[in-house]
Amino acid sequence: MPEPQRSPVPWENVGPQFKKPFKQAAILVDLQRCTGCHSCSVSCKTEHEVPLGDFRMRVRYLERPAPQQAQLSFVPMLCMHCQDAPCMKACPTSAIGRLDDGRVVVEEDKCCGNKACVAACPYGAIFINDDTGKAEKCDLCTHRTEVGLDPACVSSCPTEALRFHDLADESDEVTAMARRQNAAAWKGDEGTAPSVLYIDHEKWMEDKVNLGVQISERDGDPIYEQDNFDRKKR
Amino acid sequence: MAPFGLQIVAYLFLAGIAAGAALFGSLALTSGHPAAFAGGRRAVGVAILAALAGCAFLILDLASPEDFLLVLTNANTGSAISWGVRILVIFTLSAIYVWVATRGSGGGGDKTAPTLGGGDTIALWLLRAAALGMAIYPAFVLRQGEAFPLWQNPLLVPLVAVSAFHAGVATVSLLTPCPDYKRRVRPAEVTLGIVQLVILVGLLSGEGASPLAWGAIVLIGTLVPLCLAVAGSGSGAAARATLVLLGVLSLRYWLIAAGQTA
Amino acid sequence: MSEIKRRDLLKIGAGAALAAGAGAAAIPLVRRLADSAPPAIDIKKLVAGKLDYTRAKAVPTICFGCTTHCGVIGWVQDGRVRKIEGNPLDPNTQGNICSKAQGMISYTYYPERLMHPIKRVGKRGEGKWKRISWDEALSEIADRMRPLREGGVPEEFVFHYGRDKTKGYTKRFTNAFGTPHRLNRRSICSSNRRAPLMSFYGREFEWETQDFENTKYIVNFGGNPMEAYQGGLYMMHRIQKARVDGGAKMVTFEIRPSATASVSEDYFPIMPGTDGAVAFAMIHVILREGLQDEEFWNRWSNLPLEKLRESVKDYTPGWAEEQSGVPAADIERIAVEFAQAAPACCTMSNRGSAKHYNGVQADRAIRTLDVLVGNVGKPGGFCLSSLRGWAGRYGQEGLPKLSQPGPKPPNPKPWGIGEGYDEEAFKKLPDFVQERVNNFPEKWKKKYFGELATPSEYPLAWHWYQMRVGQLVYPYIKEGRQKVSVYMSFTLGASYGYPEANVAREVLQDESLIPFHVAIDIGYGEQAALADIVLPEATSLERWDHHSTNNYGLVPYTGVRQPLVEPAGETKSVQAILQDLAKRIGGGMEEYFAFESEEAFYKEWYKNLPVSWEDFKRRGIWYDEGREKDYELYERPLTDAELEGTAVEGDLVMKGGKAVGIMMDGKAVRGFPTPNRVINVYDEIWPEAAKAVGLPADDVNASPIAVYDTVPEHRDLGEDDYIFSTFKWNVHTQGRSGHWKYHAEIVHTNPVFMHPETGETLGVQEGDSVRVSVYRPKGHTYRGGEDGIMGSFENHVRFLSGMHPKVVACSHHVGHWEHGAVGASKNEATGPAEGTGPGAGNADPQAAPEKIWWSKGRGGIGGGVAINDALPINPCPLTGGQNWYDNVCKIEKL
Repeated sequence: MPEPQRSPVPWENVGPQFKKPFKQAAILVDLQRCTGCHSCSVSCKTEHEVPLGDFRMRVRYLERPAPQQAQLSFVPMLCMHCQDAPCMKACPTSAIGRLDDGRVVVEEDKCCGNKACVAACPYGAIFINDDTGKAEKCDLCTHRTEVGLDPACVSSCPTEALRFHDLADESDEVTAMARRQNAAAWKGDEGTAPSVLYIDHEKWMEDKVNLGVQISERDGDPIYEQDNFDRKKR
Repeated sequence: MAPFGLQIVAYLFLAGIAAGAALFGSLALTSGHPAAFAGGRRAVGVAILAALAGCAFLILDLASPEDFLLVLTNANTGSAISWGVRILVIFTLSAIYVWVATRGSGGGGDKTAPTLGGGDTIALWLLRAAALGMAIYPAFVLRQGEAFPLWQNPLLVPLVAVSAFHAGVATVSLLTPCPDYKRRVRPAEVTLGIVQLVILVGLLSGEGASPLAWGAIVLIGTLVPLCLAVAGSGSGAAARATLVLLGVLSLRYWLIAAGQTA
Repeated sequence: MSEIKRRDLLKIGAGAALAAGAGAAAIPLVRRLADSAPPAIDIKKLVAGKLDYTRAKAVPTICFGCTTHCGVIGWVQDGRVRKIEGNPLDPNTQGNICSKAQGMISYTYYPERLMHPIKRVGKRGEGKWKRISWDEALSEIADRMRPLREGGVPEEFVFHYGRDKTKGYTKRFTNAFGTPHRLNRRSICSSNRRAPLMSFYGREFEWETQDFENTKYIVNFGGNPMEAYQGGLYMMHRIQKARVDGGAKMVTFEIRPSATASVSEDYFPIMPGTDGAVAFAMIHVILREGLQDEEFWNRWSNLPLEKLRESVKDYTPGWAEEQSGVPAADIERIAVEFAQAAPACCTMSNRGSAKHYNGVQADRAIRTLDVLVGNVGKPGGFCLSSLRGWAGRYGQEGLPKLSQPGPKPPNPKPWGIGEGYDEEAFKKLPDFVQERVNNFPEKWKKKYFGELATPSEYPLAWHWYQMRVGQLVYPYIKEGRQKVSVYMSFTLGASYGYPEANVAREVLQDESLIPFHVAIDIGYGEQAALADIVLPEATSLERWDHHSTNNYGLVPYTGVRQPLVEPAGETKSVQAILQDLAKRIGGGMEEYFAFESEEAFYKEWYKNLPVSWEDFKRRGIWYDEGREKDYELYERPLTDAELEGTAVEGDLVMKGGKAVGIMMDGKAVRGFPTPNRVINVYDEIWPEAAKAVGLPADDVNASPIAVYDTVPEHRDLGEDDYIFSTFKWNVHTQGRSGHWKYHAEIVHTNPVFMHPETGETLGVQEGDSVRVSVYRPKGHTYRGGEDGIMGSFENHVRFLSGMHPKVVACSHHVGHWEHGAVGASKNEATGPAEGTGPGAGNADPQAAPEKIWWSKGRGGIGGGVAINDALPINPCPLTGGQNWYDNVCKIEKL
């Protein structure tokens, strides 16, 4: 093993030669490991300078149903990079497209901000950036993955609750783990075929997150308090 | 999180009026009655104005209004709005053509309606087809809003169309008196009223219902004018029409407001 | 032209328009229909404007988002820090970070960050300022301080910090000046848990290092490493791995559904102040079942097992259930599971169990559990690893010595009568204080430095080292126990965050008590608002510091904080400020600050590392990868070099009058760094201290062995009485993160959390407002037993089914009225414009006031409520640890 002081520092391994050539870029969310620390969501906001009030991803705090109602579950919600993406279908200007590795991205110079995509997403993953006037959402940190870095949320997770992997590669150890642990799609009935899969997510969670990513008046999380909320709405 | 607001409500209302007015206006144009002809042309004129005004609301609603041309220079075969925008363009242009082609008609006691040539008839049918499209396509736009369960309800498709037709009949009857009300117009009012009532009851028994919805859309907007139509004569058209249009506006508002919180 | 002709012309025009329009509109759609594949996406456009990792510069440094201080990398592009990531070379974090790391960027670039020194005009606290130059500011301060030193009253200079991680640099200044008054806020945090640890294991181990990587069972009394905890991040990733991959189980006793409680296999809401009862009952069960590790206990504990058994004979699980509400059957099961997992098991407790009147004893009982099952220092157990610097202390054998460059100023003289004491300062103390100190044993006389640094009523706040009693500083100054001429606040938030913060503000605004107040901070907070001069500090992204702390990977390591960018505006690091000040004060002070640059100073500090300075800076971290883990340090035999000059007395190996080892099985081994080289389950220091200050011998804190007694004000709780507790969120740190925009966005309110049943009893629903009124504590504490409401605040209610039904809780991170627009949740700029200044390149458009969507001005819920004025000063007897979690309150619906 080389002397520590002479080996290259890990963060110097950055460049196009380090890019991981995935066929179906995906993120595995493991709810057994998530502690709700928000490292992912704050890293994401910082990485993309997302305006206050909008989210490319967000961590939800959900009270569990009985008999575990004394404990909270923590659920990162993000763009699912659906293989059958309703946003891509709904956008009239074809501003939402797919990269070679299957991820769904918004091309801002084709966007006029009609918000069809915002309404189309069952996960609330898209928002309009008030500063740019364009639709915006998670793009799996293309500027990072192009040079061999993982998406910001994955890199920042201290408990490996978020993993970046190739869903189409059965030899990928994370993909294998996803299969072993029956990782499933969120709102699977919607038929959107997400690339983002969840380990240990339970049906009751889907009802509680409402859409998921953007803040809704109906959110019941004990954080992100947004207004003197109307109990009727919950 | 509500991507669509009052501007979209305004558009949906204006689009409904435009579609219905153009459809029934174009029928009036070929009815053979000079007075109906004049009224029909007026309705097509109103449809043009409503379509243009609606268009303005759509552009203003964009987060990047300066880029509005993208919806025409770009296209997406799967997007309801992409198709809808083309329907709107064809609708407006064909309505303008029809309005121009029917210029110089009636109004001054001239009992001769201008003859509509072959080309004019094509345009007329184009307008009718586009009007039907205008009436129905918004339901498909809403349907693509998969974030909102209310908009996935299949009842929305006939409802939005019927409501547009209803608005059309109301608009036309506000613009022109109909001499033969009982035979020509009342059947339409009553049929549309009943169909709309049935669909609304089916829809509001599910999600998203509220006292406001029942009161404004069903009671004021559908039931009362329906009863008036069944009971009354041709007079009171203005009252019935106003109630119907209030109902159409309330429906559009409810679709957007309740749809995005349900 | 006839009508018809005109119409025909118009028709042609309209027809052409229709054809053209329809065609133009249709073409793109037709083209898409014909396309086999969608057009390729331009990746260059996609990534435009983002951080370019091939161009940006990565510099390792040490995070300052909280007090855990993880190794991180900062990415700098175009002179601006854009992103913080973990440093994979850090063996403690193993490359991990939490959300607070990005907060460093927020606090370095927010619009109201102070760029220039400012001086007040108008009355103190009025909020009117003028900008002054550094020269002016430091000259004035030096001119105020110099006469104190020259006049023989340097102790009238008081330096009070909230967060100082310079690892001794500020102490260099105060020592050089000659004042012992370097005050802190340890007692407000963790005195009550450090004292038991030091009593058991010696000064070196005021903090433990559980081997979570290998543990199979964790019993957690009110600790929350998933959100807070000194070292929380180091623990979090190891605990989760141990649980999810290794099958480890965690049991948590808490008052709220914290993140730690929520991921635990078992979570029991527990009555505050009764963690000790559960621990005692566990000891009882383990002894009853014979599951203790008798060999280890007999070898290393200074209390015979029979005496332990005797002391816990009445602490049955049934009794513990009555005290705590935790079911007896579960206590039995947990005790057995814990003991059976030994030695790969450990306890965890910080600070839920300790911050009570009986908290010290609770923690002593919890610490006893580990000794009883023999997991101390074992793989998966309760280990002890090197903490403080590398200056040749216990557990640092063989490590290159690292210490601040000399010459180092001497410590000031202790206060007392006789040779080597400062008699002048001593004689100014109130008579009753002098009498008490004169009757102290020698060991304490030698450590006594007046009432602010070493309050005589709390000898265990400074017996092992100066933890001090921060929350009594302002009352003592008010009482006249210490004259203050120059008061310097450093990264301190007492006016906001101390218990009875109103007393702090009152004293700070009284110019007869505090004639001159200088605040050094990065932002204009509540403390700076009450200063006469504010000096803007460079942030952690812009300065140097030494870093070392205990590694949960159990191999000692060190790191360096180094600047990523130049200090913004006119800000300066505290090192630069104090160096400049020392030179201006002169009189010999300048000798200790003669280094040519900050980098040179730190380079000297690390000179013994076996790597070049350039390489060390490049990697940010150094440790000996070949070194053995710190298991069973106490069994390590003393080397020949260490045995030189020693003599055996009894079973102790003595050198120079101090025990340095112990004879075990005829061999000299290191033992523990206690006076008797064993684990002091029994310690006379407690009754000794009690006697010295007149604390009755039957007070729970006076017992030489751990005992249980109910918190005094919890003894006769009425139906309408509740316990008010505070807690910490993972996205905030103490009181200094309220202005971090992305974190404030997540938590900007501090509602009163309660159980829904509690709400029902009180007749309140979620969203209703309540008034929480807090009573003074009973027992032998500050104004103990005073009747009536001490203070109250109003806030709205939220329900959580994980709350203990008798407890209500608010976090204390938010409720600021200073710290800028984000901090105060206002959508208008706040703070002195004179201190910020345009063109500093600092304004962060994302943090502009109009973006604060939760502010009332934008129709949101607004910010938090300041609660600390309503929380009584409540120092635990002997140690002075603030008993934050004892507060009895009543709740009224508004």
